[in-house]
Amino acid sequence: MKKILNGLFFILKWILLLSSFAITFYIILSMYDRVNKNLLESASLFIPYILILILFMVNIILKQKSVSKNLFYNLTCCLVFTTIIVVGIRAIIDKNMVLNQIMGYGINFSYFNDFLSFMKVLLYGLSIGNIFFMIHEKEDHSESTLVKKVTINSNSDSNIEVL
Amino acid sequence: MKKLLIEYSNIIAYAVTGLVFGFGFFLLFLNFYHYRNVNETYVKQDTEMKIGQELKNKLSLITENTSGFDMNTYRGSEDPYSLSSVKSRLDICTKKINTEEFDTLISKKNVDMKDIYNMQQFYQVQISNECLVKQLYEISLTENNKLNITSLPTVAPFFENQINQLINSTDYVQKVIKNNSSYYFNSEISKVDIYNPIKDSYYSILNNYVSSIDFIYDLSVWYKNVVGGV
Repeated sequence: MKKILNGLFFILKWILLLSSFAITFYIILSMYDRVNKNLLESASLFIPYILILILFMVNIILKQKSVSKNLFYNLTCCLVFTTIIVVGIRAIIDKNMVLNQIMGYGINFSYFNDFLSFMKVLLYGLSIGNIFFMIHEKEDHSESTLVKKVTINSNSDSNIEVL
Repeated sequence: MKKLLIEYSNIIAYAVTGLVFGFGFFLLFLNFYHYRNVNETYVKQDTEMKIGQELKNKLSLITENTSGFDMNTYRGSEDPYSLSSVKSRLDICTKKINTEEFDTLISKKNVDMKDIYNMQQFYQVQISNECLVKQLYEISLTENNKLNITSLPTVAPFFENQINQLINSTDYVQKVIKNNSSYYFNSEISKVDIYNPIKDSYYSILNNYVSSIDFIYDLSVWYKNVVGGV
């Protein structure tokens, strides 16, 4: 059951990461376009996304199971990305927030702008958590190497039952 | 030592992830709560629907009060040009207010935040700016109004005071309405004890509608009396 849930959250994590990035990018692009600002100035907003993307890639490449198979971490990632998507969708769809009507751009920039600092905190938090989980992975790796060595030694001594 | 550090890193990892989980959870549900608050509607009672009809009747009475004056046939002691000026101002006021948009806003059974904002905008633009400021405020100026009506200097301070009050009366509500895009829009506690942004804003603006139309009606009665020689 845990394995199925883990697999599910792992896939969902990637889908939600890409969706939340897309929706953030769309709103930021519209916001900067509206005020004729250079999009490069918004780079700081996407650094946490890039960081987390790199960390996820590292997790897959180095096969760090303590991160990629951590149910709690995967669930938290899904929750954070869902929150970002919900806020983004509300900034576009929720027309009863009157600033949406007053500004007349179809997106409530004010509402999304309020959320940007929270978004950064959440994404940086996930990155920090990921890095600390990686340190744990190194220990697991060294332990498994040790077990292999012991197994090889034991096999050569023909003492399999002890293991 | 290494093992201890790894153990601590594991604790920190779970602590940070836990905090992020808690904060993310809080923000997600805060959004659902905020959505519910923002999209709340107030259903008007049948007795409240009558207020709109009363306002419409008053606007008709204002037109009736001013229609008694004809510059060509007027034989009274007051300056006919001044009376004509006041009449045209009152007529413009009535036309600005008595529109299809006014009917729609007043006759709505379910009122949400956007309707209240539209009501406030209508009040600000049509009633406050177009009628009170552009048309009627000049009547209240005793020195530079170029109106030669005997009783005007006596009632002018009353008009001025009323207009000043009515112009600024929606400032607070406007701020509350605009604040609904913020997470700090309201809470159940403030809604029950202090200020319900939907219901109280609606009443506050409706009250301004009633006060403004009452004021214009009073002015038209004064005008009718002046024309009639009372």
